[in-house]
Amino acid sequence: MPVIEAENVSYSYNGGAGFDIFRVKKMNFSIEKNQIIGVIGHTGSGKSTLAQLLNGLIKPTEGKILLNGKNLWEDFSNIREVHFKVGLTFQYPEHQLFKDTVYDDIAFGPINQGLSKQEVNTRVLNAAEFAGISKDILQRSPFDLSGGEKRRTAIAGIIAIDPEVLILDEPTSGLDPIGRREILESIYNYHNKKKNVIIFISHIMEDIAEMCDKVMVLDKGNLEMFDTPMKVFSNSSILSNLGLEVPQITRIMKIVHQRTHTSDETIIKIDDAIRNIIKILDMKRM
Amino acid sequence: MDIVLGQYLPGNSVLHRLDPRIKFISLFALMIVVFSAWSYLALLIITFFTAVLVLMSRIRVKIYMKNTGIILGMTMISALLNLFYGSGKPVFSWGFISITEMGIQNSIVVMTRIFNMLILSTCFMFTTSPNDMTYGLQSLLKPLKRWGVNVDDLIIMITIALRFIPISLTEANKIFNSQKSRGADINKRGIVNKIALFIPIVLPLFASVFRRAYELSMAMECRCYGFKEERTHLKRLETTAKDIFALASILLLMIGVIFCNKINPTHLF
Repeated sequence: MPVIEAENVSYSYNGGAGFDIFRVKKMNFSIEKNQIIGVIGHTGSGKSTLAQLLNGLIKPTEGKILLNGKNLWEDFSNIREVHFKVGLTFQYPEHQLFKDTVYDDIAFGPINQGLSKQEVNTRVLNAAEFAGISKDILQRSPFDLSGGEKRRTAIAGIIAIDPEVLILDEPTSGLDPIGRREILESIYNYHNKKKNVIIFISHIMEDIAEMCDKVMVLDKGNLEMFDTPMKVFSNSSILSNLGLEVPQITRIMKIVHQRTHTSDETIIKIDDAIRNIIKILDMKRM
Repeated sequence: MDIVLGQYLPGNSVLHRLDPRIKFISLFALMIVVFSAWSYLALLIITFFTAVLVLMSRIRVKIYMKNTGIILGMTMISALLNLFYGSGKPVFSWGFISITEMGIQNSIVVMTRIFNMLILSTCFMFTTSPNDMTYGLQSLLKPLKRWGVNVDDLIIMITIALRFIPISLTEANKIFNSQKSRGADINKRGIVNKIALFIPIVLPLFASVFRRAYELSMAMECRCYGFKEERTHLKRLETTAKDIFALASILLLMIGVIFCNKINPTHLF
């Protein structure tokens, strides 16, 4: 059974003068368990709106979203439970930190869930470990940390809620390469341990290609494609029409394959590219 | 989220294109005119003038009504109350309530004055962008420099404050949503709970406003703000023929009102 399903989901608001402005238009998709889903799209394509819809922060104006087969908005008063089941971190999540210590900030979610002190403690320590936060900074003020550490603290704050679905809205934006890689690695490790669904919104195609099982391509509120990264990135012409690019390695390998008249398969991961190039070189030598 | 700053409605009418300094002076002069008029004829002329300005602004009357409706309603009530507070010969009396001729006059005069004043200032707000307003104000306040008032800094402070409002609102909205998705309970009742909910939102918001202010001050210093005494503007304020025409017409209105007050005085006060 799919974990999250969208049936004809639209979100629009009144743009004045009787016009409805659509942020999300009649989306249909279903996400199976234990998958990392990438979401790509141009600015204003509806990525963030989609994230807020899945998290229950905003209500679809049409259609419904099913979580484990149950409509999110079936019980209006219970929407807080949905926030706990579908965790969401916004862009620049470090701006939401407010407690005196990193520990307390991560504990904010679990305490809101009404857990006992003992449970909160285990949750916080686990989340900190997943997010790669070392024990000695748990007692420091979140305002004194570096950018990457702040980001990881904020992400740990959502992981501590122990959601079934984790949505990350551009978790690596504004970080240096090392900070970026650390965050991606922690997300990947977390996913491998928990086997839950992760929805990963990003502008960086390389990250999407390396991490994701399936990719959603959004444009002006429409779901244009929902397929494996391999298939999505083999449609480079469609992507460039939507203002998106394929990963660099895909472009390079396309040229390599054309020049050497070898295979025409789409390569999206660095490791595959290396293997492929070695194969081609070996062939030439023979 | 769309936030309208002030009440400015972008457009390209003659009123939109007037020099903001002239508009400030005109508004001030018009206020004086409105409150010095006490003859019916003068009030009629002023109302006609207001109507012409409203038409010239090319903004629908409906929008004016929507924006002034509540205050206008309150004015009507206060004007109605004025009816009962006149002294002199009663025109109508019933029990302890009596309405005098002076009460009626009072009521009509006060009502028309406030009505005109409201519509005129709304017209000014609708047709002047916040930027134009601050630049106009800056230019008009320049003489204060002689007494050691730093007008430029004052104006830049106002401009920045205005600019920070929509940014902070967006930020507050984002922080509110992210705390909500961490399970901050927004439906809890009781003052203590409400205050407890306030902290996770206000604290990060303050941090973010300070961060922005710090970044902005750095950016301003990088552009050598405060290095040179005289600052120039991208948009120069220019007084053209239409501005002089505007001032002339207001002067004419003033003379007309004084004249009307003389020949057609109502016996007020």
